[in-house]
Amino acid sequence: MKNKLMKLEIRENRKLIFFILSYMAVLSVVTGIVASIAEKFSLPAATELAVVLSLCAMMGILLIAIVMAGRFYSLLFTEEGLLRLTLPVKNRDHLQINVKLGIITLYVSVIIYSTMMGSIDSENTAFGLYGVMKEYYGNFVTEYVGMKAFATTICIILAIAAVIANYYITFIFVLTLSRYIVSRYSVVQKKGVIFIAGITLFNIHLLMMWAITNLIEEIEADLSHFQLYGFPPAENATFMDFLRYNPEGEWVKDVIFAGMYIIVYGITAVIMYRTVRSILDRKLEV
Amino acid sequence: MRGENMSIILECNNLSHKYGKKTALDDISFSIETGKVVGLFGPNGSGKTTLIKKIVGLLLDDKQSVKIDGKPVGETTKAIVSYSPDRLAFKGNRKISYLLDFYELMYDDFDRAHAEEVLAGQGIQKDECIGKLSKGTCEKIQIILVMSRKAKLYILDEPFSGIDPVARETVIRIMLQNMSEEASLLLSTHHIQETEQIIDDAIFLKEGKIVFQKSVEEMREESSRSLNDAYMEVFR
Amino acid sequence: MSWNLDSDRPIFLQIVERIESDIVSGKYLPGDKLPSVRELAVEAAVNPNTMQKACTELERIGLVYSQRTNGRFVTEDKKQIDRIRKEMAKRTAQEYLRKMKEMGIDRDEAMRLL
Repeated sequence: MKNKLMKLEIRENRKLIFFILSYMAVLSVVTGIVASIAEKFSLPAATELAVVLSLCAMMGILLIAIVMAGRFYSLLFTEEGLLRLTLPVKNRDHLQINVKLGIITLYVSVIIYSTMMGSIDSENTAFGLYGVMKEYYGNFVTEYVGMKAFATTICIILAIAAVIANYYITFIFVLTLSRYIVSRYSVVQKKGVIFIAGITLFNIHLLMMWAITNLIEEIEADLSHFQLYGFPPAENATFMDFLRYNPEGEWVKDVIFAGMYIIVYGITAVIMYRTVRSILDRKLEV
Repeated sequence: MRGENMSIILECNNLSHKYGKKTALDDISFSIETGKVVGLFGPNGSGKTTLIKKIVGLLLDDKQSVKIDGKPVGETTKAIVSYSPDRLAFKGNRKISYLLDFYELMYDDFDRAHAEEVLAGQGIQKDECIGKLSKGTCEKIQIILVMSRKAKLYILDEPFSGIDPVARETVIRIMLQNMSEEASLLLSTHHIQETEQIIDDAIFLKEGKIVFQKSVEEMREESSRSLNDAYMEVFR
Repeated sequence: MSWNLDSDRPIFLQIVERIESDIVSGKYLPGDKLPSVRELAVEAAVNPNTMQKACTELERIGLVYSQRTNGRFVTEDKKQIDRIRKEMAKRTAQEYLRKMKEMGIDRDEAMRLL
């Protein structure tokens, strides 16, 4: 039955998803072309245009999250919920399928965005995830071949995946929780109230994540201060000193930071997902 | 049917429900036998929709007071219950063909060919959007879809609200024509006079309590009263 | 509704009477096949259970008989139909007299009116 529900959801969303993805692909290609023209003929105006275009292309990612999370809301919490929640499946299946579909679509959109940006002009490093990755890790990957490079790349990709998943689940979490709070404390059920509660929750979440990310960055800065102070004598160096002062240990540092992102974003995503699931299973009343 | 006795398809034991501090259902017990048409009557706010939502699983039943075919409400019972809500459950931009696809995919017991035949019989085009149709037509479509399932228990919440008498008669006709033989039907409505001929048992709800529960034919036999008379007596 | 049934008398009895009169008046001829319970129920706009009960009652009286797979048929026994006809006539006459009595018209006067 769950597979059938999945089939239904795919059937229902495919047109929209396809539309947004192709919008992103086209815009990314255009951005790439504008950016390479800007570079070749050194046109600052064209560079600015390319930045705006790339932001527009990136909006597609936000759009997908909003549309998919909006679907989740309208299918379960509006009149259609009467139909959906009496289907012979568990309430949690609706959540699982929507989250799966939403996150996969987001991954695809990110991949489209970054490859499109990068594939037009491989020399251009300013645009897109691909460019960023290339700029920071391009040299690194050529210098440290083998397991070290592999482990780092995998960890960084996983970290990005965790951040994206977290980002999507936050939408679902905020929608469900604000809807739950509104109906639980019998506030007049209005979309506006849900919207305001949603925005508030979303901002609280953003602030929390921002604080945690900042903390990670602080640690990272601390570990990088060998560039400022130079190397200590090798005989009394600890493991932390090894990380701090040894350029050879750079990849370990990257793995650790990626790991931190995975843990922080992953755990919050799981907590939010479970909260939504238990609301759907044990609290949801339409 | 089990042996000679009618088996029970739905059983409610001491079912209660509260919205915050307000009691909506207060210790309700009743059962529905296989093959019976049961009418659920009562003024607005008497708990009819709450009771139905409990049975179809839209409200939580922590104490498992409701048993359908012997099982507590869950995805197994949802597979044998065909439910029509008190308002339209489809968005206006949905096409009728989408609804048919939806039912066909999600319910194994849905007879699409039959549903299409009945829809065509009512002169309803498949490629029309729900939003453009009259309330009566929408109600007809919803009833046709719900009745085209070979379910064990049909639950119709206010199928006649806001539709004209002719559409009402058509809806009743569709119900009678399509109800599967061994199925039971729970019908909640204000329209007591129009429906009392098709009802076996009547349940009156008042402020969340059952105040009247009888076989309609027995009542007619015993006291020569119509269901409407009984209703007036209870609620006046 | 379609069959104009009263809601203060048992529906199944009214259906029995209605089909009886259809048979007596010749709408259904001896040996004719009756519509299925569901068809009849829809026509009368009553619950199929009630219609089933009425059909069983008609069988018990002997006005219709059922063949297992083919459905129900009107009896070919003319005597049986005549008997029902007389019964109905008697019932109608009694009803007439009862109503006359309610109006304060005695038996003889009622007879004279006829």
